[in-house]
Amino acid sequence: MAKFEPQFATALEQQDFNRLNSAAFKVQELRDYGYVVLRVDANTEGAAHALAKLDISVPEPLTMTGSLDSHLVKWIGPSEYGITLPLAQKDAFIKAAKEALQGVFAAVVDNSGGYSFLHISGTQRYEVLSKLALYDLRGQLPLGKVVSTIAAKSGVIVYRVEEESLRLMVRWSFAQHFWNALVKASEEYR
Amino acid sequence: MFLIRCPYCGEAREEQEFSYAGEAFIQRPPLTCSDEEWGDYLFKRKNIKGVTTEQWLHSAGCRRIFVMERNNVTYEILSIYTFESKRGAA
Ligand SMILES: [Zn+2]
Repeated sequence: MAKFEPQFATALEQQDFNRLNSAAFKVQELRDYGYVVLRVDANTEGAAHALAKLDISVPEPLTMTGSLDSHLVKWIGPSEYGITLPLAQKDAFIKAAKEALQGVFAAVVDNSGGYSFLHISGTQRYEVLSKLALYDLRGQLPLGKVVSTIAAKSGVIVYRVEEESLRLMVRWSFAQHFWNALVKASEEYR
Repeated sequence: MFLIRCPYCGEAREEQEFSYAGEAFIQRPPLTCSDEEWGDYLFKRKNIKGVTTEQWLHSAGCRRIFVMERNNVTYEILSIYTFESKRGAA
């Protein structure tokens, strides 16, 4: 039997990103981030101590704490947090989190392969996205906010850590469809 | 199409983000119940025309279930609350 050789791939690496690379609308797929889902109620016994040990402060609804350099903790729901972190630090973080949360009613799951991570910029970014998204991203997504919503019928998590761009996560299985929707919606700005 | 204010997210969101999750506050009968009681529990619903008490799931958002009282004729939403707050109030 052939030895299993894991391959590093992202959902959209076959796509031609030159098609979405203008000053008006630019999309990049980020390859260097991992995604870890942390499920814990901060009021659970032992949770506060473990979270402090991991340097995680629990975000308020629809907000984020930390940064992309170490770990960006996003509020997804009550007791559910999505953590984006540099891929190189991901395995060590999961190991540390599992150790710190030992005996606490909590779950740490690596979901790095589950999503495509997109960086969306350009002067017409809101015009393009407003064709697809239900949420008012221009008016209601200030810096530091995260929303889980629907765009082009796909579930997406959108957040802002920079003034001039948006970050968007879409499930791997929806990424190709979402890409096609972005290409079509941005046609008039190319 | 209406806007629903999710009590967990604290924001009004499009109906498309939510899924209807059935009538609220249906009591599960004890294991000693009769077949008829069990059948009623599984299948019988009030099917009210007017003000109903429903469960809704914020499926594309925080993925939590909450309670919504609404008039299914006029589509007016009368109240939205979490199961936790109901428990606290009782
Ligand atoms: Zn919600």
